[in-house]
Amino acid sequence: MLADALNYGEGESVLKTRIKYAKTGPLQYIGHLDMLRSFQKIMRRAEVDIAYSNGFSPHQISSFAAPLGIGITSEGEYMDAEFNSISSPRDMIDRINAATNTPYLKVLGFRELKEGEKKAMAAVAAARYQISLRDDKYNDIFLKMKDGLDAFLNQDEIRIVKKTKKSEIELDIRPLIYECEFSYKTEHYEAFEIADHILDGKKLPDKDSVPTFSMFLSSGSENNLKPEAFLAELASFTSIEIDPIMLAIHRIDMYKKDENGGLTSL
Amino acid sequence: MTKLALSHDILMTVEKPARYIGNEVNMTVKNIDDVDIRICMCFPDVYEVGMSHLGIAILYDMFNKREDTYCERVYSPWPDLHKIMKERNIPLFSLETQSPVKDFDFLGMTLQYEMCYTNILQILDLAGIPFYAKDRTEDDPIVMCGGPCTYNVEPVADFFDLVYIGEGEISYDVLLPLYKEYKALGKSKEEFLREASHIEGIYIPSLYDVLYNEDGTVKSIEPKYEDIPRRVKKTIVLDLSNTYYPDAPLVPFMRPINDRVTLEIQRGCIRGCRFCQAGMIYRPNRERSLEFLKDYAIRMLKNTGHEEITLSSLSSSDYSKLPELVDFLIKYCDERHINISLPSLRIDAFALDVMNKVQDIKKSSLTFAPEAGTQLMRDRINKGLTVDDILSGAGEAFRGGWNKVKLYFMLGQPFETDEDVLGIPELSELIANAYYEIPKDQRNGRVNINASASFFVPKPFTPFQWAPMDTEDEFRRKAYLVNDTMAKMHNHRSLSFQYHDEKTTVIEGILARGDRKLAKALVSVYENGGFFDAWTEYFDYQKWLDAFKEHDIDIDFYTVRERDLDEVFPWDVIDAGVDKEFLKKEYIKAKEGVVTPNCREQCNACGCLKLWRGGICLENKN
Ligand code: SF4
Ligand code: SF4
Repeated sequence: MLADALNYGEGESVLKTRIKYAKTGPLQYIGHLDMLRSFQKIMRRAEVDIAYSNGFSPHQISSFAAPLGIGITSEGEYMDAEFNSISSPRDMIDRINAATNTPYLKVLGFRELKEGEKKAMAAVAAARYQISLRDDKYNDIFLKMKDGLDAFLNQDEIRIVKKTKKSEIELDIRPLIYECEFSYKTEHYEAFEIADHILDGKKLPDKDSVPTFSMFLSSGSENNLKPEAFLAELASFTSIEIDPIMLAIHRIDMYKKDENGGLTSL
Repeated sequence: MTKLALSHDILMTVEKPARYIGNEVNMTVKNIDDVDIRICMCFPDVYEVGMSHLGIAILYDMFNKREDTYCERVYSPWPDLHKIMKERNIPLFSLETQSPVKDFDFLGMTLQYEMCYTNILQILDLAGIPFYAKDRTEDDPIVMCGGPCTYNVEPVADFFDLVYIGEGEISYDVLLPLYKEYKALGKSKEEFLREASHIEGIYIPSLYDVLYNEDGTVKSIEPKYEDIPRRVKKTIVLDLSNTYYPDAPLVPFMRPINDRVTLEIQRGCIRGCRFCQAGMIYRPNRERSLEFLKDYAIRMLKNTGHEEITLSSLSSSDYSKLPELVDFLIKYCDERHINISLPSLRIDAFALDVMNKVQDIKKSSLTFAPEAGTQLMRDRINKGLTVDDILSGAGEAFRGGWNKVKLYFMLGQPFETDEDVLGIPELSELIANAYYEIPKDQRNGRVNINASASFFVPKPFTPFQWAPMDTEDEFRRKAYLVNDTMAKMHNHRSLSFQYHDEKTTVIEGILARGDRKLAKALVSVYENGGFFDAWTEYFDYQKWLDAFKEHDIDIDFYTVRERDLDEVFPWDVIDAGVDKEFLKKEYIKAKEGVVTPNCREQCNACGCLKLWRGGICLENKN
C-alpha cells in the first residue's frame, strides 16, 4: 500500500472508484491478463482522467477482483481504478462504453469507493453463478442431477480432496455452498443487452428458458469454491459423469461481507 | 453474435483461443450480402505475428473503405489447432464472419520471408483449395500474393493465380472494378486474369513459359500471348502524404508482437548497401510529410488507445524531418503517458539526446550495424559506417551513462576473407577498450558488448545476386572462428557473440534465388508434415533435404554457385526499377572495394528516375 502511495504524482489526490462490467460472447475466450491490458487501452480511448504511476513506463493504477477463467461469461466483474478527476457516474460509464468498441464488453456501474473500503480483490467473499448446458442434447444429465440435489445439500459435510501444487488436502465444501437451486431460466444475455437494460431501461430480448443450476458460493482468496468443481461433486454424488466442456458458466455477481456480517454486492 | 467457427470444446483445448475468435477493436463489420467482392487477407504465420504487420493493416483499411468490398483476415492456425482441423475436417475460416475461406472471391497472402512458404500450403490445404493454380476451378478463390518475396516469387509462383508486385495502394482500384465487371458478365477466371495482366504491377505466372538451359539455368521467360507484358513493373506510391493509411488500426485483445502504433515515416532508403534487398526494391526513397505524420500519430493513438508509438522505416535516421517529428512526439506523448519506442538510430549527439529522453539508460543499449568487421569489407558492401563513427558515437554514449552495446554483423558476404571475419572480435574489443579508457568514476560498471552475426543470403535485385553463398560448413567455421577469437580477447568477459542457425540459412538461400522447379519440393515438405518453418521448434532440416533429394534438386546449384554476369534470372520477369546493369556495376565495385555515394549525395542512375518522377530522385538536381 505504501509503495502504491509513493508512486503517485506530486501531491495529487486521487479518486478511488469501482467499475462493474459484463464480459460475454466471444470475449469469454480472452484471458484475464489480456483483459487487464485491454482495459488500459479502453481508458485511453475513452480519454478519461485516470491516474498513472510515474517512471519510464507509466501504467494506470487499477486492479481487478477475482479473475474470470477462460470460457466463462459474466455480468458481475469488478475493477478498481484511480482517477485524478471524474464526471458523473453515468457520464463515466457512457464514455467508457463508447470506447470498449465491442458489444461484448460493457460497463454496468461506476461508483466512488468509501473511505477505507477494501480493494475489490481483497473484499470478494462470495459469488453467484448460473450454469446451463452448451447443447440441449445434454439436458437429461442436468435433470438427473437435479433429482439428487436435495440429498446432496442435506449432507452434513461434503469432503473433497483438493490438490494444491505441494500437497493434497481434504476439505469440507458444504459450508462454502450458500445456496443452490435448479430451475428453467432464460439463457444469459450479452453485455450490450444487459447494459441497455440496466442503464436505459430497455427491454431484454426474448430468449429460451433452459435447465439451469443457480448457485451462491464462497469465493475469494480463502475458501474459494469454483462452480465447476461444485457441479462435478454433485454429478459424482448422483453417479453421473460430466465434462466441464458441456457447461456454459456465467458469473452473475460478486459479493463482499458488509458491516452486519451479511453479503452485499461489491 | 456471429457464430464462432470453432466449437467451445475446441476453443477450450487449443493453446490461445483468442487467435481464432476475431472481434478485435476496430474490426470492420459488414454484411456479406451487401458487397460484391470478398477478400480474405492472410499473413501466413501465427496470429500474433500477422496482427503486427503494417502492410496488411494498410490494405485492410483501404479495401474496407470500398463500399463494394469486404476484406476479412485469416492467419495460420497453430499446429495444435491445425491437427484438430485436419482430424475433424473443419475448413479454414475468416476471423470477421467466421466463414470458409474457400467462399471468398480473393485470398491474398503477404509473403514477408521465405521460411513461411510451407505455411502457404497449409493455408490452401486447410481451406480446401488445390495447391497448384492450374488445378483450381471457377469455384475457388483467386489466390494472390504481395510483399517483398514476390520480387522472386518463382519457387511459389505455381501456387498463385495472381501476384501483385509493388506497393498495394496503387493497382487494386483498377483490379477490383475489373473483377466486378467480369464477374457480373459471367466471364471466366482465365479471361479475368488475362485482362488483369495488363494492369500495372500485376503478374500472372501462368501466362509465362519458363524455358531452361541444359545446365538448369533459365534460358528465357516467354509470355504466352502477345498482349502479355514481357516484364512486370512494380507499382509505387509517389506521394506518400496523400494516400491510404489506417487511422484506426485493429487492436487485438491478446498481445501481438507489436503492441503499439506504427507510424511509417518513409519508404525506400537512400543508402544502397550492396547486400540489402529492401534498399533496392523499395527505391526510390520517399518521405511522408511532417503534417501527415503528426496528424496520423494523434488519430491512431486516440483510436487504438495504445500506450506506445514507434516509427517505422528503413534507416530512420535519414528521414529529413526526424528532429521535428521526435520533438513533437515527445511533447505529445509525455503529457499522455505514452511511451515512444525508437527505431535504431545512427548513434550521434541527436540520437543520444533523444534516447536519453525516452528510454531508461540503465536498460537500453546502443545499436550499431557495421555488418562487417573491417573497413575494406564495409567498403565492399557499401556500408558507410567507419570505426571512427562507431568509436566516437559509443564514446559519447559511454560518457553519458550507457554501458550496453549491440553489434550486428553478417558472415559470408562476397569477397570476405578470414581477416574480415576476425575484424568482428577486433572491433568489439576496440569498443570495449574505448569504454575502459574512461576513468572509473565517470563510467557505469562493466561494459556489455553483444555481437551477433547472421549468415548472408544473396538476394535478387541486389548487387550480390550473382554471388556464391557460403556452404553450411563454411558458415560454421567462420562462426567458431569469431567465437574462439572473442574468448581470447583481453576484454573477453565484456564480450559476447551469438549467431544464427546455418541450416535455416541454407534453405533461405535456395528459396531466395530459386525457380519454379522448387514448387514440387515445397509440396513434398508440407506433405511430410513440415510447416511453421520460420519457428525453430518446427523447422525440420531433414524434411527439406529429403524433399530436394526426392525431386533431384541440387542444393549447390542454388546456393554456392557463382552466377555468370549474363545469366538470365528467374526473377528477370520483374522490373523492380533498378537496372540489372546498375547492379552489375555495383557488384564489380564491390569486388574492387569502391563505395558508391548515397542518393542524397548524388544520383547514381540506378534506373528509378527513368520510371518515376518522385521522391529522392527529384530532390537530386544533378
Ligand atoms: S541503410 Fe543499408 S542496410 Fe539499411 S535499409 Fe538502407 S540499404 Fe538497407
Ligand atoms: S535514380 Fe538516382 S536518386 Fe533515384 S533512387 Fe536511383 S540512384 Fe537514387
